[in-house]
Amino acid sequence: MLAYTLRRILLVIPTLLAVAVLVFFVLRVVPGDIVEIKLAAEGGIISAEEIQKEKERLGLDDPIMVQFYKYMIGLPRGDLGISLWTENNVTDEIVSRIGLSLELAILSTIMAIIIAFPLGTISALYRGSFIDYVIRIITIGGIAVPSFWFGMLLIMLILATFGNLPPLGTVSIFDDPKTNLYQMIWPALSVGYRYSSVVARMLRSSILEVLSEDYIRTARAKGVFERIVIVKHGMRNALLPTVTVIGLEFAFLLGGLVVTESVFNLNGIGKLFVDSVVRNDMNLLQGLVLTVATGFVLVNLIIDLLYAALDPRIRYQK
Amino acid sequence: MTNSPLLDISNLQVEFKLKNGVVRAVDNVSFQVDRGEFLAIVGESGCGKSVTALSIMKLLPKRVAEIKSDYVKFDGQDLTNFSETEMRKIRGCRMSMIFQEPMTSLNPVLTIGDQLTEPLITHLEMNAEEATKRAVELLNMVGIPEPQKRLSQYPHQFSGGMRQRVMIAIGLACEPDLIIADEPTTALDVTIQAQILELLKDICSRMGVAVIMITHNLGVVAAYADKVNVMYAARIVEKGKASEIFASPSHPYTIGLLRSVPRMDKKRGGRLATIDGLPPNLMAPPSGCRFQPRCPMSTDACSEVPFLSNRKGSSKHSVACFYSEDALKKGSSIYVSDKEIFEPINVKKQAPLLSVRSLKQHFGVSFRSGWLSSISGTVKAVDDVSFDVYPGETVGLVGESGCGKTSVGRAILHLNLPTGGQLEFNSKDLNESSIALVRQDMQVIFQDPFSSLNPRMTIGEILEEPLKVHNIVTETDARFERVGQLLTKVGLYAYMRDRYPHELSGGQRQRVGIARALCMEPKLIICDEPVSALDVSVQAQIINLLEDLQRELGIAYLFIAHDLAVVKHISHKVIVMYLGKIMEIGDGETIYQEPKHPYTKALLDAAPIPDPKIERNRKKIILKGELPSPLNPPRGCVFSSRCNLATDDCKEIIPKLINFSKDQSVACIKVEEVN
Amino acid sequence: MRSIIRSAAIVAIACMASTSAVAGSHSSCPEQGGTLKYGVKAEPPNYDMHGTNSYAIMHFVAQHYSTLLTFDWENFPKLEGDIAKSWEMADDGLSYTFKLHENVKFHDGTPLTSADVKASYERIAFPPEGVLSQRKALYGSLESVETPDDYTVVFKLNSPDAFMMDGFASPFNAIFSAKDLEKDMNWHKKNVNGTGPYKFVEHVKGESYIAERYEDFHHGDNCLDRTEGYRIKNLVEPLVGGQIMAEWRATAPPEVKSLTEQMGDDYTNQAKTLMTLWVVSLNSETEAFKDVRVRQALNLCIDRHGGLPKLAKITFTAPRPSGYLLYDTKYALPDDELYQLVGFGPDAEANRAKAKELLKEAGYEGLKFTYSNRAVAHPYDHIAIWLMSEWKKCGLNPEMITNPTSKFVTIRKEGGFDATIDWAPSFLPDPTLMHFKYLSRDVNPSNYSRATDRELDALFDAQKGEVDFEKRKAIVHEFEKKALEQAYVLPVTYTDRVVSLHKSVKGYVIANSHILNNTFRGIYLED
Repeated sequence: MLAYTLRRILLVIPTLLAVAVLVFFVLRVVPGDIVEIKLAAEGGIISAEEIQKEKERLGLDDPIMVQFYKYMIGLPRGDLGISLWTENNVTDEIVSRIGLSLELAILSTIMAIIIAFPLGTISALYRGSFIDYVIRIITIGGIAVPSFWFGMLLIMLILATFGNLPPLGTVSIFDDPKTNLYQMIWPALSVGYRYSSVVARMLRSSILEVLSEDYIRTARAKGVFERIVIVKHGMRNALLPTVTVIGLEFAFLLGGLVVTESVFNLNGIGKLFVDSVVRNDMNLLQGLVLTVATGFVLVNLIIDLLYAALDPRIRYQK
Repeated sequence: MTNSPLLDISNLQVEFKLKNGVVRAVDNVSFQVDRGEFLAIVGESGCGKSVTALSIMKLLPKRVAEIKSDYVKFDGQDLTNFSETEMRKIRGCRMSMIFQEPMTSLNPVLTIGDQLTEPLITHLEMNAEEATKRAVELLNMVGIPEPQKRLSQYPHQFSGGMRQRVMIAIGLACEPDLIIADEPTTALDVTIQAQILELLKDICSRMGVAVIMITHNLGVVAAYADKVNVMYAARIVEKGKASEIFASPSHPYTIGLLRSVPRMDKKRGGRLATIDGLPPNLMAPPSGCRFQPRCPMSTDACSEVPFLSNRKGSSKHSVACFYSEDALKKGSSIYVSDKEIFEPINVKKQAPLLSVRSLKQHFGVSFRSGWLSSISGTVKAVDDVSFDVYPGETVGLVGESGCGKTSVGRAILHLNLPTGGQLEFNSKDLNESSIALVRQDMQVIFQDPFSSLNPRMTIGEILEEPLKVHNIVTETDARFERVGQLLTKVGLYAYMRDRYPHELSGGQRQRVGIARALCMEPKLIICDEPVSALDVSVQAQIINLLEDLQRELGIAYLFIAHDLAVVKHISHKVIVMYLGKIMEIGDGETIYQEPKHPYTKALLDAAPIPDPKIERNRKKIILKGELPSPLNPPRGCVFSSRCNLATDDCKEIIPKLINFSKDQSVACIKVEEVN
Repeated sequence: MRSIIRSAAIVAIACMASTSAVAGSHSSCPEQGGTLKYGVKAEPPNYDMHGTNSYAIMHFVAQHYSTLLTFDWENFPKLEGDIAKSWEMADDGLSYTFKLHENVKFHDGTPLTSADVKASYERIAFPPEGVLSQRKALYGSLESVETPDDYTVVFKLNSPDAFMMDGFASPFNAIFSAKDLEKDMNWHKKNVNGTGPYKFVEHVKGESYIAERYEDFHHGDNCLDRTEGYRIKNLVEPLVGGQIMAEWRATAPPEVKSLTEQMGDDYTNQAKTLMTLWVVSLNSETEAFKDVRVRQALNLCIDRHGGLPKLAKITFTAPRPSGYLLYDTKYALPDDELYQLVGFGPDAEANRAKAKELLKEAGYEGLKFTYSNRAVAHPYDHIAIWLMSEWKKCGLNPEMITNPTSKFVTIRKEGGFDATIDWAPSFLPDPTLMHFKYLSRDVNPSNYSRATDRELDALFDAQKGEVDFEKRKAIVHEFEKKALEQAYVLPVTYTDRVVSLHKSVKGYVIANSHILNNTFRGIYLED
């Protein structure tokens, strides 16, 4: 188990290195010029000379390999350079926003799990019944409805119900958990709906599959209580594919966050992503991609370890 | 109360409501099981034997299955109206079940201990400590070494045989009155099968547990059963004491079934008796006697349903046939047109068709042992194997799974490139470059015909393809003609050319596989377990077909199988393999009559003979233990770790194949010493 | 020349008159207190008012700073003093003298003196290496800044500059503290210390911008306790949901409709034409657009009189046909003169016939060309769709290519288009700002038509140096006519700006630019 864990962790490094190199060059193929956007895009009286000077100051005029070198030697120290827009450290820009996105991601994962588990289980155990159809309609909706649209729908719903929206400006969950949750619950729901739908559907089909397995029949033949048959023998096995889906969907979460954070005016990395794309802030963008890639790899790592914890066949693999 | 039967079933009926109709999977079945009795239910797949067992336990899915009966009395209590809660208390406690697939019947994510103590805790309300203590006893009882340690392990750390022992331990945990074993050894090797069945029989008779054993293996029935129910198409067609059924089978189906099975203990006789056709579709079964369409004795009277009635002079033996006395008298002759099994033409007078010399197939494997370190080893799947196949001859290759018999076939076909040795085919050296030239002359038939036929092509297209590709028949019309001939030759009909593989039964698909091999007009066909997936009656049909084709076309077969009786029946020469090496090779009759190698003896002992009189008087050596890891085979003689004759010498000396006679060579130093 | 002196004098007197009412009194605030919450859709890269061009810096940062002059928003563009008590231009137009209020203090408590004005203007006009002054080009005529005493500043020019007076009121020309600049010429990029009505409290990047009332503000008309700016994406839901009370940039007609419906009486707005002109730049390096007849034909095809009123109903463009200069401002061409010019006449049919004739002459009938559009709905898509249909009516074959901002900007800069949507924003109604866009490419790289026309450059320089109003106006008119006739850049329409407010927000006066009047002076909240 330890060897397995270490091996998986070591694999993270080359993966991220590859991402780092790839993202650097891909971003430089994309056209766009931040100095132009910053100084001249909205009109303005500026000379070509000033624009050139600004480019030099920001190091955008260096040969690409020089830029690449600077970028690569910064990486091991966690130095991702400065944002070309604010000229703050990319790391600071990201760190100041990542908490909110993480909270949102965790909240929506929790929400997804809270919603998905009863739905998926009930749907599977009462297969073909009315309630199963209702649940399946709800969950197919979650997959079909784009999360930004659902987010806007939610906003209209909150407006119709409460007459106002939660205050802007994030309140820390540690300072004022009530307000924080009131602010975060809606975007979490907006992301969590799709998330929970995917998980619930996966759970349903894996429970159904597991319940037709031979060992379930064995458990029943042993005269074990039906409740234990389902929870102890069924759920643990059904969890395996479900855990994978939870992990995979966590990756999709970022896409959901980009949209949801914009719709709900939340100041997370999703919105920062949009901003940096619009501004063509390549340094920030590559920092963000790296952050997200790291997150993705870490989540995958956690899922793999969780998988090993749940499945002895992986745990004892020689 | 104690005199009444333990289980008394009257008119059990099970119907499955499926989307496209109702299937009556069990139809008016009545039987009894006494305390401590061993009842076998035999029949081909789909005859309703498993459903009968599951319906006794009420384990069928309620959504689709409807169970009706006059009564199902268990220990005097009628289970018919038992609620789920009441049934649950009986299941695993007074009545338990062992399933066919040991690989999937245990929960992969729970420890063996957990699964074993579960019924103890549920039914006997033991605490964890008591349950663990009892679990250790149980594992000890079923012969699992180091039970304390094994309790904390998971199913995947157990071999198939070990898992089945665990299943038996679970079944016996609460000392039930009845164990239902549904094909408990079908997935296991013959030596392991013998171990498991001996264990089951032994424990049950000691504990006085009644057993209902569901099986298709008549040998197993003969070896262990007190009573037999023969089922056909959802009904019992014959039942009675095992001795009576085997001595005087009175239903034409029973007769056919018994005669379909090749016998190890008899000399190679004529063709196997085959029952034509296939079991009926239970969605629309034939009216009257369901065996009537396949029965050689059927008359108009058979359109009435024959009820089970006692044979004259026997209170236990009953048959559902209007002509049972007649059938009993005529015996197997009702089926046969006994053609002689022919001996290969001009054996050894001419050069061998295939000559294998010192064939080696070694696989390099590596696996991680720790982090960043890995162990690489060599699996000697085939090690120094030499034999000849003469034109028109059948050479049988037997051994337990993992012995390398399939690797021999693949190496000859160059599906895996052999790592050593010489191969000659038709006196020409066979190697990577020349194999393409002889591919047409050397064909193969696989075990699973379904996965080897392209599901998107019709049978006609499948058979035409090689003709077209190899330019054997170039004209379309001629090809059409040829495909028709081929289908007829393998006992199918020309009109089946338009069907897709999934529209055919397993036996029919195997016939297509044979037809595909035949269309190249080969000299040699390598048959890799061609009948092991088939029911006995169909198996017999295919074996007969192969023999007929050999007689007609002079084809040689390399027949790879694990079923000793089948190999014996079809082969002129037999090779016994163990861990990649030949243990014994020689004339089939000789080897089966006078096996010299302890492994051959053990194999033959392990395979039960479908005749209780013979079977129960055999002195058997049951092979202990399991096949060692091929990565780390025993030194010296590879069989030494399981051999009852083995001495220290055997662990040092690698025995060579020694000719004992013209027809028999054995690789064993002990046998050498004796002679 | 005389008139400008006169006007300056009048302003000076008016300013003197108002000073008595200023300084620490709360009399200009009908109500005091409360928190103003507003939304901004963009965010400035830093807090440096001199080096930034984004409107977002105005909406967030302008409240912290003062300028020399500002405008009387009720009577725009009438000048008014901010930190200047009085001001005077010398007869030769070569020097400007300002007297400063003596009670002005920075937020850190230090008093504002002439040295701070000098340091600030020198940073704008003569930025040292490593300092970016975005509008340095506007102060080319400035020679030096002198400080005879602590409260007098004298600007010396090397040539008269007609823009200079208005320029002193440019909202970008924030007065920084010389002491802060001594620490670091770029100190103000990341720090704030001004003399404006509200003090900086906190900026959570990407989220919020908080300021509080500056007790010692010299005009005293800072009526709010606190201002809170929030980054928003859309303005409708936050306004309806009570998350914000105002958005200062612009509200599109459909948004106005939806706000009116959802907020009812709680909603108010103010409207005024914005000094941003939407234009189409024709790439005069392409073969077809080298020919003035083809450029004129494209201009003639646009039915301004018939189309603009309709366009104004669906997006925030103005309904009135316009040249480069904003109509009704003092230098603008009167409508009757404008309508005489090629392409501006009211008879659409005649225009179109003329266009076809010109195209035929030039040999470009059915010309195919690309039109580069920015992937933003308002007003880009609406304008694009309208223009496409207008050109097609002339038998032309335009092909629209839409790209997101950064790619659009690159294409526009690098000339990878035939025609492109473009815009000329001005923050003051001065020809120097409004005509700068149309100068030769080597003078102004932001002239994306890539045209070079020395005559226009000469006229521009001439008006810039002419401080006599009438004379300057004549030169400006000549420029306007010539540039419109040459049609390198086709003016489409000005912008109608609507600012949406919650009804409780009072005292706000909309200006002709979202750059202007963003200090929140005079704004108060009413229950």
